[in-house]
Amino acid sequence: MAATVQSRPRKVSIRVDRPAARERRAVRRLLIGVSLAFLATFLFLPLAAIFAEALRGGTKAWIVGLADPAAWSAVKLTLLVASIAVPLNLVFGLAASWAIGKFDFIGRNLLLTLIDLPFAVSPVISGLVYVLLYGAHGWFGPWLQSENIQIIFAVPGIVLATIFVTFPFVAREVIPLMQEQGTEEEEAAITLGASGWQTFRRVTLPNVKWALLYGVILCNARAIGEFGAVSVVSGHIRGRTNTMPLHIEILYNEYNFAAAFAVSSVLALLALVTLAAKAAVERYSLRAPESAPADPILIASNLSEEPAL
Amino acid sequence: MGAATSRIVKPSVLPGFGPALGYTVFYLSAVVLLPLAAMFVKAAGLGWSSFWETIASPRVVAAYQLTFGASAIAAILNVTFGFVLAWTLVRYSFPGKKLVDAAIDLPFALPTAVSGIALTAVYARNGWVGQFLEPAGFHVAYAPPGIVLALTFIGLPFVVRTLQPALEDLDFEVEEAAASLGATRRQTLVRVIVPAVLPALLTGFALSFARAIGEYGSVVFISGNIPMKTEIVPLLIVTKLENYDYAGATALGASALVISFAILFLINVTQWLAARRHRRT
Amino acid sequence: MSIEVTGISKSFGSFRALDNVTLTVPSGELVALLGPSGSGKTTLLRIIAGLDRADPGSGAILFHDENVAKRDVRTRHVGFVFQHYALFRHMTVFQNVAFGLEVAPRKTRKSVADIRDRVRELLSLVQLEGYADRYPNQLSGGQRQRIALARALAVEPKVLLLDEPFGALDAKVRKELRAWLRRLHDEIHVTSVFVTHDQDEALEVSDQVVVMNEGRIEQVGTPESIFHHPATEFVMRFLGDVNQFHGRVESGRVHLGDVALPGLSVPEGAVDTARIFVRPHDIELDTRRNGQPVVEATVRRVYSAGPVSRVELVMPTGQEMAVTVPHERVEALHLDTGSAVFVKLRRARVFA
Repeated sequence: MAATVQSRPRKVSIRVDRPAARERRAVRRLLIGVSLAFLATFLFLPLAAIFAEALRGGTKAWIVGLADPAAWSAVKLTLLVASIAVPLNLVFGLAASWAIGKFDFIGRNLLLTLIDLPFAVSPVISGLVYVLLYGAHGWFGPWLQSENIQIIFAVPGIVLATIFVTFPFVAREVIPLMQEQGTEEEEAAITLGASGWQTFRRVTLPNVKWALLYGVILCNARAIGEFGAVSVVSGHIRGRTNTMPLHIEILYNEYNFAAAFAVSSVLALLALVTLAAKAAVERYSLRAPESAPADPILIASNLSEEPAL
Repeated sequence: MGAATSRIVKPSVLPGFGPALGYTVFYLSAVVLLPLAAMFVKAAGLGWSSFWETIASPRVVAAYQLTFGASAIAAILNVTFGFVLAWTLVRYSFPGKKLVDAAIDLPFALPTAVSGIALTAVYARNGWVGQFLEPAGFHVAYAPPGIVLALTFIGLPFVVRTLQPALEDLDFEVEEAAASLGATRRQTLVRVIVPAVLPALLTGFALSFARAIGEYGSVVFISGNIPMKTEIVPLLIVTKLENYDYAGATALGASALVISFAILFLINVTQWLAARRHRRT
Repeated sequence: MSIEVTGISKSFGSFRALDNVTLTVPSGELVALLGPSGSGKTTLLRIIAGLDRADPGSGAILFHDENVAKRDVRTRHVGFVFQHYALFRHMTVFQNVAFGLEVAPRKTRKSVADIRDRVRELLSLVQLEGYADRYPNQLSGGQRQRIALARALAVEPKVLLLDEPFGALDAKVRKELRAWLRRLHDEIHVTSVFVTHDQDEALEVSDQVVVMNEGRIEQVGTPESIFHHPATEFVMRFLGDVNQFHGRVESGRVHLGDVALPGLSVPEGAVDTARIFVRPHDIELDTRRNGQPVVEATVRRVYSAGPVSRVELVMPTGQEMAVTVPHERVEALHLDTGSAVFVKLRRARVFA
């Protein structure tokens, strides 16, 4: 199922001169022009606007907007949420890809489809389902209340909602690659005496490291930027349950545009870093010799160097 | 690995299937399946008449019409311009091409709330573009075109990234064959290239559409949120929640989710059919 | 319709794919462009088709005395069969073959019924009548190749160009299709050019063989003349196994070791040394000297599994030599590792 943006490294396109399979120069120029104009109005102008608005009042106003304690606590909460959600989904992604990518079992395709589910769910609904589960009127609401545990309108709810919306990212990147690579190398390692954990760590993991990193980058970007799901479960308590995107909303609705765009500019910079990292991973993984089947002899020599775990 | 699992899984010398699958299923159930089930059980508990009452109320119907209409227009725009973009990126070389290629994912990397206020800033009455459009009587921000704008923005990468590999896969020889048989470039485009990438075009459309009908963050800032006029379904769900109308939110959420799943199912069927018919051997 | 290529060059960056190539393909003939990869044969074929353009300022392509340089591939009326078939995979066999007829300008387009008849006719020509509704992925490689051919022939091309037509097929199907293509050509007599790197294929199928190397034509001729009278060292080497010896030129004779070889004239440009080329089947072995000037050698190994025996020899100079002789000869001479033999070159070619 392709419910994700599949922009995994593609083969490098070489420019070939094949006049019979090419448009006239005027047509080519027109199409390039249309593309650039479309991107300019839809992508580049809004991006530029963020920085222009953020710096409208000068760098001083920009710093003031960021130095606000509420902004600072939003940054901390955002980082906290991402640092919980991303590792959890990373571990899940590895477990799921090991089971689905390396074994053939009944219900494999069903499992794949279920893993993709969160992509099909509106962010707002992703938040809603947790409200219905852990909220005051939810399934576990009364029990949680009696135990004095608060999930909804508190940090745990934000973490849960973030985990939900970023759930498939790592798994979706790693599963297809593990499937593609098959089990030969792992079987070779086992016959050479490696333990299961050694095999995973020394053979499987290096082979999927770029896809893993790619998934983590996407997962992290979404975890930091998620708005709809988090908005539903957060309760918008300033300084306590506001992530950066929620903080932006509050500032914006208070007509504090300078501060809203100052915080936005930080997230936009982060998005640009994400894109650069993503492009770099795509480039490296194309060049990386690791993506080629590893030499079993090298695996064997590596194993003998370190004591077994 | 117990005797029960060994029957459903093909034997393998690799260890760890049991724990890996067990953890996968547990985590999936806890994080995704249980909450989704909770919503559907709640929705079922409402009873058909109260469910229907929510869904069929004029405000909800208006929101659905707006959401589907705007999403469809956005998806059509994305398929059209996405095809041109993907084509130029795959076939042509021009200065800054790598940058453009990387920028396609910007809507994906940019937090939706940031996209929302940025689009509003550009297209509002005093914005860079809005200041020229508004006097001409063309309202983008706080009007349906603004919603289409935001949905186009967030859906673009889905179309381009689906089309790019399909276009890269096209064999130059096939186009040369068409030319050697006397076809003009336009005939080749219509009769050879578009049919060959049609599955990818449809998938891109569906992905863009599916993403659009659930989108919230980038829309709420630019849409103006006027009931019956510029209120989208996800916003209505949030509004109902804020008014403690849990039943209404649940009914609306369940209906929206069923529609999303139906679209996803259609995508899969399309891809499966396409793969079966035109499989490359 | 004859094809004339005069002084065509083509460069890709600094790589010269074709270097001033001139060639005439007589009307109605089946001509093979034979050469190793990178020899420029496919480039030449694509330029004839109009799929690639020759370097500006280089020569012309003439179809029946008409310069077609200005015409692009759409209007050249060539049938082109691609190496990987390039079938439209979303179209049925019928739709593939009909494509060229359906995209014709409205003025010259045939009626739907005529198109149907023509496609039927072509499918029967390539012996795939029952396959009209199949998709390309439901056909075998050989069947796809034949559909590609039918599609190219549908537009009644004046010349038929085939790029490695059997390159992607397995050995057995290749051989069958080879003979079939020859018969088909005898039936339709369209001027045809095909590219191949397989010398057996070129020699077996074509009327004329054009041997190419490094962007130039080495030799043009009938399969017999090419095989028996190779004009250059490259052609000699490319057309089959060959022994190469370092010979000496002394008092106007070519010597191999101490023996002056009879019947070999010294090639132009050879001063002290010359290279002698002999095919393994052009060598005679004997265990007696027989009076003639012969070269001595020792048997290193005899391989007898095969239609003929292959004998590996070492000469006293250390040079090696491969010889093929009938099994009976090996038995009659009791050849085995270590046997001393006398070697006579029945036919050899000398190049400077």
